[in-house]
Amino acid sequence: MIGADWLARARLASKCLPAIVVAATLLAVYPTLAQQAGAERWVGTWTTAPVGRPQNPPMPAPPGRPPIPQTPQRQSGPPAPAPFLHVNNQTLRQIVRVSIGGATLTPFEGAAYFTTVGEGKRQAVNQWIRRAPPTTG
Amino acid sequence: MDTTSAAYDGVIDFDAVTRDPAQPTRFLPLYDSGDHLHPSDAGYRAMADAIDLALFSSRPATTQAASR
Repeated sequence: MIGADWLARARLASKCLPAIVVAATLLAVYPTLAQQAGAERWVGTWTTAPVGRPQNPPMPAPPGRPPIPQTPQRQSGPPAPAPFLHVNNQTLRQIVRVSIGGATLTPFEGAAYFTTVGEGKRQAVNQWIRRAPPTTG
Repeated sequence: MDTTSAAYDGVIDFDAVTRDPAQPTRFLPLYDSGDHLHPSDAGYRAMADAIDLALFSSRPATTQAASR
């Protein structure tokens, strides 16, 4: 009977083989399909809670009832990026009260990796540190 | 020490302090540790002495910031 049982299992497997192949294929491509479907959904039906002051004041909840949740606003795309903040020395000084100091680079002729090009850069940097206009900070 | 940079509230000119006046692209021999790259103990002392402690006062506006 062991031989008959083995034969029955082989026949069952051969009949199920196409289904197994289809299932394996779906599992293999599922992450890609899911990612694409998610991206389309995100672009087309993306919603978010209102940012900033809402157009209408929130509806007050009846006495003794929990507050009514606000309906998210439907948007056609991702949220607008935050305003670009250009942080320079002046901006930094306005955000926090700090003092910004600079120190020049010391000479290094005679060192193993000294080059005239490097020396030129050192002098240029030092000159910038000593006399840089504030708008470039 | 130069403290007149427009970009900074204060500038410490380590270059001017440590360079050899006869060869400005080199350390003063007294301030050279030997590798021509790092200061000697005397060099570090000279650099430390070049720092105006007024730069760290609570009113740095008395230096560069006040002139802008």
